[in-house]
Amino acid sequence: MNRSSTPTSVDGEPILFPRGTHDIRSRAAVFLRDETLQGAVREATTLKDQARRDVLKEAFGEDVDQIRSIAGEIKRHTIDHLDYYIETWIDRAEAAGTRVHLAIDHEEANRIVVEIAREKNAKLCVKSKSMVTEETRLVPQLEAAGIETVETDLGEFIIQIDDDAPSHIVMPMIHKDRKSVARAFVRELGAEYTEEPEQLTRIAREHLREKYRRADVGISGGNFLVAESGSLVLCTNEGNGRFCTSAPPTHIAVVGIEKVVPGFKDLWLLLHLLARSATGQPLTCYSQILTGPRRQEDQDGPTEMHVVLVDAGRTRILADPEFRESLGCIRCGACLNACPVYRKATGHAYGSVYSGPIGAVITPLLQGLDKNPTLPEASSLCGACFEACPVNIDLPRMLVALRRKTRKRRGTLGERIGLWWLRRVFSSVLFYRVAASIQRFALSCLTGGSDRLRAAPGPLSGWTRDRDLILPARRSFRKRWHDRGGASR
Amino acid sequence: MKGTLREIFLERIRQALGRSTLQPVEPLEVDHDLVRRPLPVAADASRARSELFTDRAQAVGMKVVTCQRTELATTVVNFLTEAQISSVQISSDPIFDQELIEPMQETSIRVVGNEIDLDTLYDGIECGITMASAAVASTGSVMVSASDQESRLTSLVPPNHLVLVPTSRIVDDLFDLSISPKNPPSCVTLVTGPSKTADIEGVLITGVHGPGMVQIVLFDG
Repeated sequence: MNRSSTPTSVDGEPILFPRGTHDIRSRAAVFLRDETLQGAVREATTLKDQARRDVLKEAFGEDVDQIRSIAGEIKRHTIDHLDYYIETWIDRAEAAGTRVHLAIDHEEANRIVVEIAREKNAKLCVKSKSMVTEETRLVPQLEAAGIETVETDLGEFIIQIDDDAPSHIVMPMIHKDRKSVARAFVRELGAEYTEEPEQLTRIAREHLREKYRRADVGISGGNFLVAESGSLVLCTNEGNGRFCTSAPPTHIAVVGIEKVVPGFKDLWLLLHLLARSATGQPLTCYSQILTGPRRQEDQDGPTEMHVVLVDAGRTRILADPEFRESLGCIRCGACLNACPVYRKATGHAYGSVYSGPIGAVITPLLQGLDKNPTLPEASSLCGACFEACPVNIDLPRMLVALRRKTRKRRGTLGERIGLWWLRRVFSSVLFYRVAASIQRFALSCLTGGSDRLRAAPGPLSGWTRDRDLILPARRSFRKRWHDRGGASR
Repeated sequence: MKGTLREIFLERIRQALGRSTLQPVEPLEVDHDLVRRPLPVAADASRARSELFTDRAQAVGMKVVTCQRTELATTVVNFLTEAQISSVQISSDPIFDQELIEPMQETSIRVVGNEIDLDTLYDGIECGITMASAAVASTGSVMVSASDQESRLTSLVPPNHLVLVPTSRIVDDLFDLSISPKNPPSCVTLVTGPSKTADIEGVLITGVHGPGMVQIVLFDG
């Protein structure tokens, strides 16, 4: 496939997997200037965030939080006993005829897939969306081995032919507009120029149908592994996942070890939350439960089913009780949609396949905090991600824990004196009152009557560069309480 | 798989968990019923289930028509005629042989089974007709399962999918589906809506790769 010769880059570094130390501040600055991007991301994330709230409330009423915590318990239980559940899954899957492969790291996972494809003399692979293969960078490896590999999810397909990178776990091309799709289709597929999403979808459909028909191997990820049956579960909307797992004679799934759940009951509960949290649907259009290759009596389906279980840093996270719960993530993207920082910085600023709050936690854990020291700073700790998470992962707690790890040094003398004073002020009612009135007075001097501070002087200007400071009310809460006749201390 | 590689892999997980041997696992007891939401027990449970299923299936964009067992052939033929569908692929469920093939052929609809080659399926067939193995009221889903009678591709490749759902196969919720953990079908698919995408600027488009139209024929049986 013809690629545009210059890959898109940010700040002189590739969009994903920057080579040097990654700094989200300087990368985000690039995206903050792009108003079209800002508008598109704000609209998409706000809509999805609202849809999630609405459908969860409609389905479960006041029980939503309790259900989230049960879902979290299921994932945590499974992860606490991952040795048992993975072994059970492997045994059952093999009994059903699945060939299970184990990969310690990215290279091994890619090598296994390339080897299977070579063994089958594959010329063409069709691939459905999978985060873990983005993580291992599988597609370039297959292409290097001379095996044409086509992403078939519409968004991922567009990203592939435009030499771009996904910027959201669920909505991979949230950062692209229809014009860029139109241009890519003219350039790469020889299509007539059209900006109509319906027409563009039709063009991709026709192009990809030919690929399904000819493909030798289908590659997929996996949303869940069911230990009690050895099944692989795939949740998709477009139908490309079904094609990849049904049409070619060989199916290879690449799945992280943390995807396992004990049994069908647990699967049903999590399925009730996954699509609602991701897109506001009750279930994705297609929830497939795949258990082994086609049976003798079956009319079609792949004759071989391979599953590559990937560790690639997951056991390292597992070993750290402080961060273990991050492995419970079901990749719904709800925390991205809810996060005020993700909405402004946008996905590519994170420089990783996992963006948003969950990315800010697991990217440093998977790749090393030294390469991503600023990622845990990419949060206001407002807690919206925790509240949105269907499996109740305490992301703010882990973000703080990661920040603590990056703070090896003691503060400067100035910082230490400042903090000492702050502690004094907050631990005395009298000091606090005095300090608060000084603060109100000083701020009103700076703004000269306006209710917000747009540009602070000197070293404080950093704070107001990207936002306004809204002033405290003229009269303190205590005073108003007192004036209304409330009890006072 | 080599025993040793497997041992190394599992050993890494065990070590990360801080154990040296596999510990017995007590199954986790959680309140699944909080999510399950069984339907209120009605005088006519089956009817209530059918109604909820119809509502929810329509809400996700599938079409539902209800008929008596005796009207099944007429209903299917009427739908195909109205939708101007002239070629169908059918699954091998005996109901087709017994009741449906003849009336369809009489209206000069081309009916083929699973014997056709892939090129014909991709290019020449307008509608795949299958039998549901179950349906779920709370989510409005239809379950299709690979078997000696049902192919995976019939419900996937043609642009339209017509699926027969006997009311007796509707269950309240996902939790009520009976899929044997010991020997499940190789491929079970819960279909909850026509194939969709909103990848391009969030505009909803149906019929991306899978069928853009799913017609459910719900019948007493």
